[in-house]
Order: sequence, then structure tokens, then C-alpha cells
Amino acid sequence: MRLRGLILRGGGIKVSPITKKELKKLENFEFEWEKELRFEVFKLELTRTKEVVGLLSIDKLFEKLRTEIRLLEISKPNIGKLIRYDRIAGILIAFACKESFICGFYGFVSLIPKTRLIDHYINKYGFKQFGRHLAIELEMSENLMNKYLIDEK
Amino acid sequence: MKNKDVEYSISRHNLTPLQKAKADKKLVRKRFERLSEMTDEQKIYADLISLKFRAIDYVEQGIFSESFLFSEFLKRYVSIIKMSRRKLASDLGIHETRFSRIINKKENPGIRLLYRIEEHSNKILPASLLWQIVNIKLTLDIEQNTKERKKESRLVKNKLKLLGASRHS
Repeated sequence: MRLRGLILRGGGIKVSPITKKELKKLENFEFEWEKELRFEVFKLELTRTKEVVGLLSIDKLFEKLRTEIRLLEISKPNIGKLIRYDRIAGILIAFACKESFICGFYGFVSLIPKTRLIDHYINKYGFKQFGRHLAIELEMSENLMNKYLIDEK
Repeated sequence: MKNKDVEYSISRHNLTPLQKAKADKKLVRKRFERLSEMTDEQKIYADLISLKFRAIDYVEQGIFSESFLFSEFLKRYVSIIKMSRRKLASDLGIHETRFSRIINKKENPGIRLLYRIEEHSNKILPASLLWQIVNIKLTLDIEQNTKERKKESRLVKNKLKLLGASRHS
């Protein structure tokens, strides 16, 4: 058992922390990611080409026992009609769930989506609504990890 | 917006600091309500998931750590499920003395025991993952055990004499 090594077309993937230097070199992202460095920022890269296909910023709120997804972005070549790699958002959200379990937050992950996307996160990932926040925990959080992170080979 | 690009980002929320604080407060209230309603069973389950993913991270890194010796892993399992070592040994169908030797690093676990832990943990801790934890230490032991290597080397006859073999001596 290991973390999932495949998205599509046989390419391995890896989620790991990103440095300021690496962020500066990235071209396919629009958000101001350097501002997120006071939180924890992770990259999802293809191990073969080292191409970064997704970024995630999370805030681990130990006193509140939760992880908040602050930002998540998929690289431009992977958006819309030209999408090359599926599941990028799912993997990054599942990674946040994993970090939440490891921190002892019982897999509790929250985010504040755009209003029009609320149903999408509820239906696709199993989030529940708590006012403006959406959140996921325990079994639903584990389901996401099993679906997006685990490779049973 | 098409389905495919519906989720290319989770952008910064557009709430004012006051709105955000209010939203957070509401979430925290709900969060702690739910925590107080959590059963012991759910807490054990969550702690086991946490243990499993820390183990997966360890295996992924592949660098030996004392804190992830199988014996330490087993101690954590015992602690999470809040069970005495004697009771767990009994549940796993092994003698308490043997269980004690494994938990005190005097003996390595066999694959059969790993299957039993997988079953005992309701399959949260797969035997294959447990084996990889054991294997990281075994690999290190094999690499570093020069005494045994020399001893066994003396028992080998007619070693292959190939070009470049000296590199491996």
C-alpha cells in the first residue's frame, strides 16, 4: 500500500511542501501564492516531468481542531476543455484530509467556496454546510483519502 | 460554466473580516458540539486512521526511524484501542510471552501476525503496510550486518569471478 502514484497516462504524482523560490518560477497559476507562505503551501507535481499541476494552501488550526483549505488552484493547462489530468482537486482536498487526521483533528477539513459551487462540493466530495463554511470529517474524509490517495497495488 | 472546469480553484473568500469571524464562530460552535457527541468508537477509528497515514508517509519516505519500529507501532496500537497487552495477545491468538518479545524488539513479527492485526483493526491497518514497516528495519539490518555477511561469506564455495566483481566486495 502506498499513496496513489497515478492520475492518468501512467504518470506518478507527489504532494510535497513548496518553497518561495519554486513558487516564483511557476507560470501556470494566477493566485498570489507567495502571500500564502505564512501558512502551509503544497504542490502536486508529476514525478516524471516535475511539472506542478496543482497548489494547495492550508491553515492548521490546532486550538479549533480543524484544517482550513485557504486556496486551491489547478494549473492553467489542466483547466476546461484542454484538461490533461483529472482528479487534481480531489487529490489536493484528500491530502488536506490526511493532514487533518495526522494532526489529530479527526479528518475535519473546512473551506469557504463560492456560493454557486456549494452544491458541487456537497455532491462530489460529501461536504456538509455549516453556515458559510463547508466541512468534512471522519468517514467521509476517509472515503476521499481512499478514493484519491490510496494505491492498493 | 461547464462541469469540467467548475472546480479549478478554491479562491480567497470574499468575506469581510467581521463576516469571516462570524462564520468561523458558527463553525467552531458546531465543531465542538460534534466533538462532544463523538463516541469512543469514533475516536479510536479516527486515531487509527491517523496512525495508518503516518505509517504510509513513513513508508513513502523510506528512511528508517526509531519511532516507527514495528514495536513502537504496536505500542501505539495498544494505546489507541485502550486494551491491555495481555488481552490483545489473547485476541490475536499468540502467547503473551511472544507478544512481549515483539513489543520489546526481541523478535520480529511474522506475516501471520500481521494478517491478524489487519483483521483485529477492522482492516484499517493492512498487513501489506505493516510488512513494509517491518521491512524498512530488516533492510537496514541486512545492509549493516557486516559480521553476519562475513560469516556467511566463508561458507560459500566457487564464487563467480566476473569482471567488475571487485566493486561489490
